[in-house]
Amino acid sequence: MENLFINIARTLSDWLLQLGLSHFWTDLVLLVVQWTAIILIITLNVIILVWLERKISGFIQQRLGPNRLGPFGCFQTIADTLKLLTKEDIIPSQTDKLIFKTAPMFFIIVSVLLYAVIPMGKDMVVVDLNVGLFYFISVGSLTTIAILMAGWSSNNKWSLLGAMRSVAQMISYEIPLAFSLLGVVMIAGSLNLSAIVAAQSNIWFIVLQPVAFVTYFIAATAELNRGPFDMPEAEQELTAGAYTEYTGMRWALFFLAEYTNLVAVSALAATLFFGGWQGPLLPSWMWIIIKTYLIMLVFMWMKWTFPRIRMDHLMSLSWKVLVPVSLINILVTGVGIEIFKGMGW
Amino acid sequence: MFGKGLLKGLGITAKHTFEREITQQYPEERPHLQDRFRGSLAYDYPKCIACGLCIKACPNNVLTLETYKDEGSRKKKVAYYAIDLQYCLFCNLCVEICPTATLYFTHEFELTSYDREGIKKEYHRPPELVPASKTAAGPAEEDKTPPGGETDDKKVRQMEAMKTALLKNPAKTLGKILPAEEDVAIMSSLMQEDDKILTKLAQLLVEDRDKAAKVATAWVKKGRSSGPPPGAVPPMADGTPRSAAGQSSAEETAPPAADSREAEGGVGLPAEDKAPLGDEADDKRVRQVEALKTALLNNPAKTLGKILPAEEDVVIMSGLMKADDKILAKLTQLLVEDRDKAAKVATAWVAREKKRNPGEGGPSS
Amino acid sequence: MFVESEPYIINIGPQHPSTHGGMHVEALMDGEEVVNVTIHLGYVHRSVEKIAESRTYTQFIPYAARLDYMSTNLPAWGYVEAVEKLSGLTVPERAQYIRVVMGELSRIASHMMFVGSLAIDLAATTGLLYCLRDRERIMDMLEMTSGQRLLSSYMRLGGVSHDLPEEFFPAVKSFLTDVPAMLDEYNGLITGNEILQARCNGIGVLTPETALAYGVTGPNLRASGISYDLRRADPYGIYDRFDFNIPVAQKGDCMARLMVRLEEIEQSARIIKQALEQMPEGEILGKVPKVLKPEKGREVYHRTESAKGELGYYLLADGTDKPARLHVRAPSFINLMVLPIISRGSKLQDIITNIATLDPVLGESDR
Repeated sequence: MENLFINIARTLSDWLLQLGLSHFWTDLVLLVVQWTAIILIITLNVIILVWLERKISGFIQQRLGPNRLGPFGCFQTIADTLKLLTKEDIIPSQTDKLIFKTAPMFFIIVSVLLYAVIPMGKDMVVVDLNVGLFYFISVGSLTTIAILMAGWSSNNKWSLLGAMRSVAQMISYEIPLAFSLLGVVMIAGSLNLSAIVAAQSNIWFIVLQPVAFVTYFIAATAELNRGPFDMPEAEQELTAGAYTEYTGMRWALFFLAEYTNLVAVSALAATLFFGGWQGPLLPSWMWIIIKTYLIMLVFMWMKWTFPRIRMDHLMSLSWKVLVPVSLINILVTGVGIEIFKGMGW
Repeated sequence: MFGKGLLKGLGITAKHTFEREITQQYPEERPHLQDRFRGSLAYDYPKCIACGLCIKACPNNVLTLETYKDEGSRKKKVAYYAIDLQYCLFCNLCVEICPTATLYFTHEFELTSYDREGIKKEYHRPPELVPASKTAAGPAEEDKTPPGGETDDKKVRQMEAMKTALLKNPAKTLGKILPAEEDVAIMSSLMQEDDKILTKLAQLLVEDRDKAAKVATAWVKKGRSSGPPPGAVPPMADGTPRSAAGQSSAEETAPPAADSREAEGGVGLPAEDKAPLGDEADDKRVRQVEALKTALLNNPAKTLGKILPAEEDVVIMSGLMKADDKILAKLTQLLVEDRDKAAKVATAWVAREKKRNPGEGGPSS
Repeated sequence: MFVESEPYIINIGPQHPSTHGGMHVEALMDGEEVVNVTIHLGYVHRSVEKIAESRTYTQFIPYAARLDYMSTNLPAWGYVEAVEKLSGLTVPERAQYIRVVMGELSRIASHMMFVGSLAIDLAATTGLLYCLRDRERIMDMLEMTSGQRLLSSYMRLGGVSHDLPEEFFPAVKSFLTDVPAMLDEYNGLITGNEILQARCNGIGVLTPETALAYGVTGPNLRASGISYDLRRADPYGIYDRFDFNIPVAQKGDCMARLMVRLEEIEQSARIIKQALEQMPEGEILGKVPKVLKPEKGREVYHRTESAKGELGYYLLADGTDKPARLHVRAPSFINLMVLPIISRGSKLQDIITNIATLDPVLGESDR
């Protein structure tokens, strides 16, 4: 059970080698298979997540949520996806067509790229980069470019305003996000995510870095454009923000990418603060799924409880609260590490 | 400050997450409607006396009424009645003003249809009631008065008007000649029981009001000593459904006499005496049966609820009814003739149906 | 290098998630900052005042109830009182009390809707759902009394259409007992939320001078520190018999407008409690002629405190059974006119908060 996926991969590569392929081609084929698996998992996962979010919001609001299609309405999202796939694809005449069409693709590609470095279980990581965390943060911030592309090319004031908000939000929140993760990196002594997981074999970093976790959590919510920080969409004032002009599958790609991001960010949180794939009894890949889903539940819970924050308050929260707090956290962590080292731990 | 409010909010939503949902799963779970709920507006054809008050009361021209007069009778009858629900404000004004509780609100609320015509409710005169000479002519608007005898004609017309007024609103007319309210009630019930008294009274009222007052007082005295008290009203015999809203408003606004008149058989054409007796009785029966059939189909729960105690049984029965036209016809006839028997037969049918497919609560369609 | 920027226009409405009906707000923006706001109204214009001229006095009641569909009994009540004043009709005691009970229930329903719509305009969807859940109980009570949930057309000239049913009393009593718990929940989820506080405190400040100059009435005026409530200032019906406070807030910002309404829910509950205790037995419909024909040339202006402010009806009779002229002083319309003033210089998101806290109902403002 533990090595289920690893065994599959090994069998596959052995088989390919037997066929007489060189190591280069075998690795390439394996990479393609891994990516396909990840994309399939992501898509399926989003279908489950959309259903889960609607159910959770329903329960919070003392409703049932979707309950018509299939047991507990679990086929509802599939039906919705089919609807979105068959919808007319409208591209408004005054748009910048090339950018308008590439924006959703860019968004989803960037979101999927995030999964390259997340350890999905023991020895289960697509690319075990030694600067994995750095890769994650820099690729993650690219999503904003996609939103900006969408907003700019739509030639719509709501879209542009939403896109601009997104950019401002990203610039403000990248900094506390990175700073909050620095504390973890300092303790683990590595940017490699597998190494960070390994460093938590005795104690989870949430215990050592609670402030960093809270800062990361808030900054990540803002990075994800989720409520209460869903500025780019802001349906109450901007109708649908940057996505106003999108229809059908193009819009669905944005939707898909946002949920993909949500999973990636939650998985990262689980990896950095909750011991990643480590856990007793159950196989390692099961543990990371459980932890990721629990963190996502908190994200959903927050979204369905809080009102949206105002744009300028968002900025001041980042610059006046989160940045100083995360800086102080780094200082305290550094001093703490030195003290512990001095004590000879 | 510092997130205490945020945490409290999270606590509240978390608490409600694990509470039971408060929504109704609508198509499966039917909403609990209050007694007075105003759903679709319905019309009870046999009760209508074609007075046209509802037409005048309606703020938005929802209602249409076309009348005709039979040969030899001066009484207006309904040829066609339409409720164009798409314009209805559901304001209850027509139901409140209706003197015979012909109009009432049902509990039916699923009123959507695919076209505008579908939401219109129309009531045509049942074909078996159309006299042979009239079938071809269609709904005649007004009978032409024969020439000659102008003064006689006027008096007759006045008398007719007075008769209608007496029937429609006895309290008002009688109140002018009888001082005590109780007397008015007795008089109006007398009037409705005996057509001769009505005619005589109307004639006297037209000719000489003082005399009318004297005669009326005498009748009342006689009536009080012999007749039944006006309050003791026998239960409704026809079994036609009336909404609670319609009923209560009728009781509130109409004078006490209205009840006793309804008790007479629920058919609001008491002054019709010129047709041969046998025909009239048959006529009445046919109309009652027709009305009841419509009522049973439109709102089975209400009518069946009177004879079947359990809700489940009502559902089964209405399913049976809809499936088999013969059962419907039989049940209607029984209901008109003998309610107790109807109840027994219905219970037997339901029991048989239950035995046939046990475990199935719903209608077998 | 100097970057030059120019203002641009953002259209909010007429079809927009948070305009409370067909309203078009044209916002002239400089970045995220509001330079000016222009309101375009008339999307829900149904020429109600003209309709009144072709309807009898009784027939207009359902239309009056459709003015402010959030608190349907209050505009209908104002209208029937205006006609009663015009033609000198008397209303039985019991009917007066029933009107107070149903009217105040409608006011609570309207204020609950206000709290909920403010919550959802600030994207706190759950706040709306909880408010709707509690408002549903009022709707049930309206249904059991009048037969309709939203547009009950319950008021009649000279009284009300139905007496209170038996099942109404336990329902209203349990509702009144639960009101404090409901308010606690709103305070916990909505009012106490720091994000909401940040978005409401000091936003859209309406000074008492401006409020008076523009003729703002109702909770919006009381939130600006002026204690003016027609139920106290010019008591109509039987309001002089009840003991209640008039909630006043001093700041005049969005938070003040929210707090005033929350407190008004409490005070309305108090009035209902007293009305139920004092309610006598008796008639519910006074003597009303079948055809009401007020004398030619008689005119009347009658004002009541609706959930939105001072709702006035001007009626001119011409001797027929239909009014020669009806004019509605719609508080929503007049209150809405301060939106540009309180929005200038604030952020785009504040326009939404301001619209929500001014609580316009477009059926009434467009008429």
